[in-house]
Amino acid sequence: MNARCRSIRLGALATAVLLLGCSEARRYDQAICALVDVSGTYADQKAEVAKILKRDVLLGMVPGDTLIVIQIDSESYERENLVALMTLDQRPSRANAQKLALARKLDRFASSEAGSKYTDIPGAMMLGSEYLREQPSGSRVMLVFSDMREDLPQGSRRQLAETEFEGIHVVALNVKRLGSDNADPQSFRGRLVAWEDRVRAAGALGWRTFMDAAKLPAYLETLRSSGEGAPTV
Amino acid sequence: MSSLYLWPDHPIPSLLVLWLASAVFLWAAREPMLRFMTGLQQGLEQGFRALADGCAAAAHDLRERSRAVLLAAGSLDAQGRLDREFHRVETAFSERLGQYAKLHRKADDLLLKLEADYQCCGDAPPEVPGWSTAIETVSGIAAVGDPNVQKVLEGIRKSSRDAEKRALAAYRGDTAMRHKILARMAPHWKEIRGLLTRMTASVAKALESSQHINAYVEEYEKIRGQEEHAARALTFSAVKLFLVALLVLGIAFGGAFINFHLIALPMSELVPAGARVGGMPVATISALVIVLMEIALGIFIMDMLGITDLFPKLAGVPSSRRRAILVISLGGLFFLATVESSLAVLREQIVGADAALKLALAGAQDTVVGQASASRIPVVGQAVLGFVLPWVLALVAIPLEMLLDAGRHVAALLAVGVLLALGAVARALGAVAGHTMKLIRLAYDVYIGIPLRIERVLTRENGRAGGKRLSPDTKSESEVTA
Repeated sequence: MNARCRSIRLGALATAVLLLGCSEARRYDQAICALVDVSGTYADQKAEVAKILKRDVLLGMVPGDTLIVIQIDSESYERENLVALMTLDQRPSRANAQKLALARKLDRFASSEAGSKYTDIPGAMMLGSEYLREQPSGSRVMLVFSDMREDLPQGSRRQLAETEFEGIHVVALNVKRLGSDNADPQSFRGRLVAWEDRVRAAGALGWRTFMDAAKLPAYLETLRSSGEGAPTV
Repeated sequence: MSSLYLWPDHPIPSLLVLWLASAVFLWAAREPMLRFMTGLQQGLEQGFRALADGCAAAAHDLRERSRAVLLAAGSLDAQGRLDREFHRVETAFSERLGQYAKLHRKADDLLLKLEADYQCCGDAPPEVPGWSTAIETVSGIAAVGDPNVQKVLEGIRKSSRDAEKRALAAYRGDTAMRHKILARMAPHWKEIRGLLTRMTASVAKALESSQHINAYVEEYEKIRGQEEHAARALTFSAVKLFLVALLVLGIAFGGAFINFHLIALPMSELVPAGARVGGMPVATISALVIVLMEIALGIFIMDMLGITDLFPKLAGVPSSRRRAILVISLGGLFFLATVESSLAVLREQIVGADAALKLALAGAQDTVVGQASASRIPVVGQAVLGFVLPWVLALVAIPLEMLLDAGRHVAALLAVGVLLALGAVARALGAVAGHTMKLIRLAYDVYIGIPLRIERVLTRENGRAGGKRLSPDTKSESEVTA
């Protein structure tokens, strides 16, 4: 089987070389950074987040796409917060194997006891934007799974630069409503609006919130096709 | 409308004043206005007529040109068929005539043999010794008492009897030999009959070919004579060919579509799956290129086999090179068919893996994931389909050539139809424009009817007073008539 595959590959090589020779400069691959809150108020959502990531993000990824998973805890701007970083191989069969491996990793992450007292969302965002900027992908998206309530430990200072999210689309997903939000929904909405202002002020290409995560794949596909946020070489 | 009123609170007086002013103005401008409208009418009529004439002329030219091309194509086709028939006749005759010498020699040999045998079969009685009568006479002498004489006579009688017996035996032997020779002649006769039958068949075939040639020559003569019904028959034939070719190409397109989908998915394993050209994945384009390459190779093969003539330049290539191109094309097609067959097998594996991945990411258990179809029939079916479809696609060259040949005649026919329709529409528009302009002129005169009537009365009175003068109305009427 391998020998035959090799011969087929050789046969298709000429065509591939020809086609790649004239392939356009625009890229269609996508880099996605998922920030997952593990702090006290959101810790119970880990399993749900893993499920969304597997079903609505991982499944729709194509060879060449990158997925970065970062956890939001008390001190999120640390390299240790990087849970997973994976770029899918150009061969679909290998990419499938990578997806399966990452799915297992996400399952392990969901079942872990990781938790934190504070919620350093901007720190994770800054770390995620640094990783995203490294990716030469056609579109870059940051998914935030959190209750969006920032709670920094004393002494921590998080200032988002004006170009922090340049070329990045930010999406808030599965945003958990807290007890106080139930009493006053306006505080929840105000929190989201404040985050939108903050993210846009930091140069983000767009801000979206999804109550239904099932709409995420279509949105990601739209961003992939539009090619917005492609790095300028 | 109300903005035009002189006194917005009094619309009727305003309208009356407006009508009066406009009527006076239009009455004053009647002559140039009528000239303008007449000119416009003539311009429109002439323009539309010119357009209609142009369309008709263009349609006529196109039809004539198409007819000439059609007749030339038909003539070429008939010539080709005649050539082919002559070639067949020539081949048949040279073959048959080449065989005829052999046949003739064989028949001669057989006849010689038969003659010799016939001569051998001649009924020759056994040769009787010359002295037998004497012996018989001597042996018939009555025995006298002399024992010596009696002994001699007895000896003579005995030798005579022996000679008779020997002669009879020889005669019987000869007759048996003759029967044997005659028996040997039977197959020769049969062979001669067979040879004659073959000759009859050859002559019949030659006669049949000559009949074909007669028919082709008649058809060719008709075409050369540019007979109308020959042109019509050729047009019908072109349309029929076009439709048949279109149908076959449609079916072939369906085959190409299946073929493309069979290899599009597994191609992503061979080329970078993420790369795109013009928004289309490289894997998809590669699959498309492979299918198109198969069609291109098929075109070369059909041209090299002499079935199609899509590349006339290749017809002049020496036969050795033609053979080389044919072998290369066949090899290429075989290679692509093998690649496709393998890709079809790979496709099944990828589909299975994708399904398993989807189930796994959706949270299904491993046992469920493992329950894929165990049947090998889809794999084998796809592999066979992947191998056969390229060869089927290679045949597309034939309907493609038919479509291209017949397409230009059909396109010319359609263009003639469109031009004629355009001409008819232009003619109709010209007539409508002429009548409309006449109606507008009448409406104009109706609108300024009162000032016109006053003018006519005044003119008549002036005419009575100061002699005859041509009224503007009469002038304009004459102009209109002109």
